[in-house]
Amino acid sequence: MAELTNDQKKILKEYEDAMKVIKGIKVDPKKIAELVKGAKQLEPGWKEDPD
Amino acid sequence: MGKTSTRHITAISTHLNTASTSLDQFVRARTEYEAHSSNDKVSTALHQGPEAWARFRSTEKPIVDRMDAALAAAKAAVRSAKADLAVFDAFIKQKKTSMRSKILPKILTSIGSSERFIASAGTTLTGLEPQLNVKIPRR
Repeated sequence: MAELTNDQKKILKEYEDAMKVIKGIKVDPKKIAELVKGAKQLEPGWKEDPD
Repeated sequence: MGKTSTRHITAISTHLNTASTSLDQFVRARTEYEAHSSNDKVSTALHQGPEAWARFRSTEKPIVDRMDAALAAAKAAVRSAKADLAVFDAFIKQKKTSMRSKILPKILTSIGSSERFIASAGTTLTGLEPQLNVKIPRR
């Protein structure tokens, strides 16, 4: 395979850097799902008390 | 107390649901992106010439768009959930000092549960927010 031109190498480097940023976003949907569950569990308790 | 609190909790729950769905969508799109735009595949597409490169870019765009959209939706939902949490927190604190709350153990139990929920949700959302502010680079 022919060697990449300098411009192509630059593109490849930009992709590597972008991938680092994208992989760096640490999200945990499970934690949020637990909070959704927690909020649902609170609802019935509150409903039993009149305003 | 019941109706107002239920309204707050329902609003928070709705935002958290949106955040949860959006984060799932982001994680799925990111997995696709990692597979699509790995170093080897970028390198191969560059080697194969302009047409292959154009194909590569055209198949990549919708994935990046989905990542961006999911991240933006999650960010908005987290901000809304945090804003509603703050309002609910203030409401709980005000109720806690009322005579009625002091004499009703059941209400106190509910307040305790809510405070724990607010603390837990606040910590999680605050930890998550800076991550969601990261902008996905576009070439």
